Amino acid sequence: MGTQAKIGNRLESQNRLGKLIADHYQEAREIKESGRKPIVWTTTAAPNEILWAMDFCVLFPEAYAATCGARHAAYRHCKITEDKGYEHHLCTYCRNGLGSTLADIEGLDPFDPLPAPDLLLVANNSCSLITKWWEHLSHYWNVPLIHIDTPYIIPGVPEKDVIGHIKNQIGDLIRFLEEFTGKKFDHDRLREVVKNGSESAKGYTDMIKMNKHNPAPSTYFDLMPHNFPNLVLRYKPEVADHYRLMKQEMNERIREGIVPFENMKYRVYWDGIPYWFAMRFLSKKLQSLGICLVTSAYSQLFAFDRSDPARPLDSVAENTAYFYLNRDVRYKAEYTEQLYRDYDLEAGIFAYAMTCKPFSITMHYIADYVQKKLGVLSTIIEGDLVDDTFFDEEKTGIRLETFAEALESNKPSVGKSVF
Amino acid sequence: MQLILDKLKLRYSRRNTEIVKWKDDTGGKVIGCLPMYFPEEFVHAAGLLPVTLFGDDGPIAHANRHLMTNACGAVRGTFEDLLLGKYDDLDGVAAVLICDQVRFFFQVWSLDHEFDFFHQMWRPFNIDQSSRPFLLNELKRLKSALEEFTGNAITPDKLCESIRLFNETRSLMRALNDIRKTRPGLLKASDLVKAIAAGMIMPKEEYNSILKELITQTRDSDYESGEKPKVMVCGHPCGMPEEEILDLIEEMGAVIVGDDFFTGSRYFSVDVPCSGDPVEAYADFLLNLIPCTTYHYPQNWIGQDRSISTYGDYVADHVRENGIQGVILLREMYCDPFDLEFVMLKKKLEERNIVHITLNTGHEAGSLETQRTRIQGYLEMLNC
Repeated sequence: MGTQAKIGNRLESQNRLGKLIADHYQEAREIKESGRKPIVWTTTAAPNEILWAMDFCVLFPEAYAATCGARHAAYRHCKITEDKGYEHHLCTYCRNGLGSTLADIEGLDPFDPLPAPDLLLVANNSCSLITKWWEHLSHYWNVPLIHIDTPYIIPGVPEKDVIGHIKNQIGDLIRFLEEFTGKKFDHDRLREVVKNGSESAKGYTDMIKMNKHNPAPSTYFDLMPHNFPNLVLRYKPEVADHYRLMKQEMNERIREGIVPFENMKYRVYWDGIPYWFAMRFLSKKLQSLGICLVTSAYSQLFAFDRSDPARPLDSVAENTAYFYLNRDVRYKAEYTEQLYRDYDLEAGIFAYAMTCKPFSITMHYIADYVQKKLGVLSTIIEGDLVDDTFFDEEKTGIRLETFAEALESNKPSVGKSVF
Repeated sequence: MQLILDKLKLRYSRRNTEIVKWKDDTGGKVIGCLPMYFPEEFVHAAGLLPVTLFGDDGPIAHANRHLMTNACGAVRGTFEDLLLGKYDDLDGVAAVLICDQVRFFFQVWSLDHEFDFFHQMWRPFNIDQSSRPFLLNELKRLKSALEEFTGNAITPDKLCESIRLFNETRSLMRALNDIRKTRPGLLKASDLVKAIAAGMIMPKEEYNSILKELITQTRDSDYESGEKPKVMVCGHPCGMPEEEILDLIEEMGAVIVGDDFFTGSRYFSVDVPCSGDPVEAYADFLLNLIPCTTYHYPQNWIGQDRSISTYGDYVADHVRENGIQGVILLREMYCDPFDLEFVMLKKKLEERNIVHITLNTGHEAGSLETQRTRIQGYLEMLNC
């Protein structure tokens, strides 16, 4: 990789993203104050288009947890839950969410709390623990909870049965929401929401793919926060514009030979949920070692690439069913292998999140699979989503340095084990 | 009586060699089923022997190289057994994907260790009628997979016959369980859980006749129950509760007269209906089991009169209906569904004024002496 490039370490699009996020939360706070719309808290890949079509204000506690992690506020929320009897090893997105809720209800000054919900929606396509998390929210906020059961996409289960099962539940959800709001469900509005979503999803996917270029115009950590608009705001037409402008900016970087940092030596894959509290440390450390994180299967969690206005209900059900975490390990391993090929990657960092079992249990297998298949080097680091008590900065730093040395000494052979 | 119990315990402890012996004797095939809720009757109706896979409760060495150390004991124990080759004589494995750990970890089995038969089943997490069509399809898929594997048709008559056999097992287990309610102390809890678990690894035909003899002998016993505090023990959802803890509770002066163990009430409380289409009946059975910490009960969470814990209601009702004085919660480390439900369960028990204590169990639970002190304090509270 050339090193005589111009450096542009911050994307201009970050400013636009900041405004989109700030406006979203500001609007939610105004809605709460005015009471003009009901507020619903939901999960990443629940059939959320139904909520937007019914004009709910839709909020995502998982996204909020990431923010709390990045702002070093999650630890305090997590601690509150421990004092209430929740175990330390439980998902820290969950503990952050419950801790913030408890703090809000008990007047303990949570960090920028989400406006309280009138309704809760959850799908178990990321994990089954999330259902329990939402049950606890339902208890603390004393509001109804709807759960969408999402069978795992496993070999042998006819996918039409899975889609049919989810569609039936979406039908039940619509009937419940009609009664809850006193409004008739508007299928034309759903089509419009799905249309906006499909354009946003396409823009998001195109933007992520810009890093196929060598040298990459940005690091994966720079792109990652841009999951937010496609997750939270894709029902709005302006989100597709955000990704269009972002792609334009990255194209300009490629044209002008701008790279995110000096001395980029290795194109590396990242696996897992980022350690939100350690982004600055990890970015600096990786840059110092010449490691450019290029892409991650994590971005596929926010793709929602089945959205199709020609068949709105089906495509909403498919986005729920085919959510990346709801796929089996063979699919994930092969998908990851393909990313290595498409992005010309030479190694991978696999980030165990000690409280996220769905992500972490199969991680060793996937790392091993790509290493054996492609002869690339993989390393596993340990940390957590938002609780830094699971993270040892010094130990991680040493591991990454060892990893860089191994990359430098070149080249690991096929069949070597993950270290 | 004790002789039979000891024999059953021995059969349980030699469960892996039992498989080899049974195969040698019969020439049949064996399917290992991970806890919980796997429809063993379908396996039996296909002419196979279903056995429940209980992980080793010894030290974990090999599995730790593949799994995070905060995976639960059941998952790590069974993975350890797999890596040690203890399941090499199985012809297949199967599981209902009951929680995240089983769901994600079982797939790794499918890729790393080939079995002639490998089946993953989804029991929908919404326990209500909206799940029935999908559940029915899953049962039909299991039936087809077993038919394809064995070449044997699972006719309605065969399935009904298997259901009747397994219902008889459950009924005998309930009868045995009733003895500890009517004659507290006659059966040690640690003997009972192993006697139940033996039924999950033995052919039911043989097991049922042993259990009938055991019940007869317990009825003939001249044991006289003294006055001891009666407790219910809950938790440790899908593994074998530690014998030492159960013994300690009873040695310290309490008598365990109820539980919700997988190797206890959870396994035998409900029968499969015997009328109508057996596959349909089985779907109804799976939707009517006793409440579980891993599943969601939608009706409870939609309305205004929500309970904080459907599972907690079940436990509290059981306590009240059976004249039980207190509850001991066995908390297996790293069981996420139970750990979350635990918070609500405790609230529920407090709400219902039920005295309870929590004991951590599992591979790294700590010393028995600490548990002894805690149990002692608890029993003093119960005696007040």
